Amino acid sequence: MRLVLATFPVQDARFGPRTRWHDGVLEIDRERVLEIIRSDPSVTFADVDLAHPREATRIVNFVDAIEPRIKVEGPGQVYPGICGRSVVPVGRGRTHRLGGFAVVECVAGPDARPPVLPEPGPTRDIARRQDFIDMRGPGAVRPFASLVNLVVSLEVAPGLGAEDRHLATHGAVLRVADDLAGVVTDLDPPSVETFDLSAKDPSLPGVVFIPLLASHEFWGGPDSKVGTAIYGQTRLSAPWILHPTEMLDGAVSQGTSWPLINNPITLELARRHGRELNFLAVIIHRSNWGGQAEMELAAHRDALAAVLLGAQGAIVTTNIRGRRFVEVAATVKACEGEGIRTVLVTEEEDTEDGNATPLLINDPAIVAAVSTGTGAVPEPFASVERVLGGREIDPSWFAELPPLAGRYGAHHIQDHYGIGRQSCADY
Amino acid sequence: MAKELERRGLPVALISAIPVIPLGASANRVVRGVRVEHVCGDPGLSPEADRTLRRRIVGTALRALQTKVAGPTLFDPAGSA
Repeated sequence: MRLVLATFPVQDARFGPRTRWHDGVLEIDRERVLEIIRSDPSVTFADVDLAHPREATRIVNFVDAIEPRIKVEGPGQVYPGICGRSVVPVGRGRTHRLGGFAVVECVAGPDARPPVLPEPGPTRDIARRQDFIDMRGPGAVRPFASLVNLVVSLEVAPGLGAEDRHLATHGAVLRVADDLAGVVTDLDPPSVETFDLSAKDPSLPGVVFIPLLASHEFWGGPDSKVGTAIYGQTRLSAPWILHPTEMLDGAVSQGTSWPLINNPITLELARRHGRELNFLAVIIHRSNWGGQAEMELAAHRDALAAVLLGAQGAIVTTNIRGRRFVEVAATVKACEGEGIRTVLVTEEEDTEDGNATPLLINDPAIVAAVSTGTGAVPEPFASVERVLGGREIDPSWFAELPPLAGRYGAHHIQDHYGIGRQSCADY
Repeated sequence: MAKELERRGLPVALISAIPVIPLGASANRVVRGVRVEHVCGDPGLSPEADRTLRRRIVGTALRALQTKVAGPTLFDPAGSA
């Protein structure tokens, strides 16, 4: 399979009379965006704003961030399967993208959780709302802080269930992203990258990427559309085997859509294909099984799939901590047991002031690991001049916010792939 | 908690759906449970079969309490029917 990925970088975005991209500047027709959102009557409130890197701005009520992409050649539709979209396989042909830009989904309203209230010392309360984005200061560590963001603030009709709420809000931001990407369909891109993984060099080692991605089934049942989805499917299941270029068309999205489609591990392995290695496949392990036997079964299936594909090396990641780390350790162990050299890329647990070990399971099979930090933000989040993401903003959101401990369950960072800037040390 | 209670001289049997975690944390007597959602039984079974399973798990835990162990040990209800 061969995919041409063309990038139209967005250094600046502003509202203007018509939506167009020119020379790194994205002009957005604000009224048109609002019309696109309001075409669904279950959206009862919508507002849009722009947030640029280094502005004293905080984005709250954050749910997801989508990079606008569009297929201009080849079958399928980007971000397939979710919100009723086509499930035709993607990853072939040509895709245009707005680089360095995201449509940010913020959902407020009666069901939204309360804001963080400032208190002295690092907060370890995992129930606190941590899903905000600071665009400036020591707290600007999430990858979204480096993007030009179109912040879409939404409220939906009261009484909608979680599934309908998700379809309404995520569907709205997808329509906006589709429309924005549409303006670069016929333009000449400043930069183009070609990923052709069809030919394999037998003298090079075969490598697979095994991301463990939590399924929402544990909370939402097997038919839930909420949470990280593969072609729209969120259920717990045997491993999915994807061609790496499918990832670049958003075959796996929701929850953390932008980091998934811009995953540096997928991209770097694809770039090194044919030079240093053969990038054979992405084996997706749906995690969060309820019993140890199922966790071990899934891990063995990952390893045997890797063997069948001819892998000699594997990179394993996870997007959730806690007991799910049993599945991570089991996957590394199963791969190593099959003679596949395996590297784990992971966040560490909270050190709990030096009293806790960095990994919940210390299996001797884990012989090589790369840390992406603890998820802690050791300095306070500086006060801001502007807060985006909702109709009524609690005044406490403007104030300085306390540091975050990297406690298990902290989801402020979610830097599973090493994109952000909160690692303990830069090398 | 299991370790703290044992430190005070009270033997503890810990029933867990994922025994590798308490065993890794050096809990001495670990009993294999069913699932995270229902550690001590299985709502998918008939009431009679569920009752038998629950008795077997709790019986295994009681047996574990009476067993001398030298270190982290797994007690499997399936093997003690």
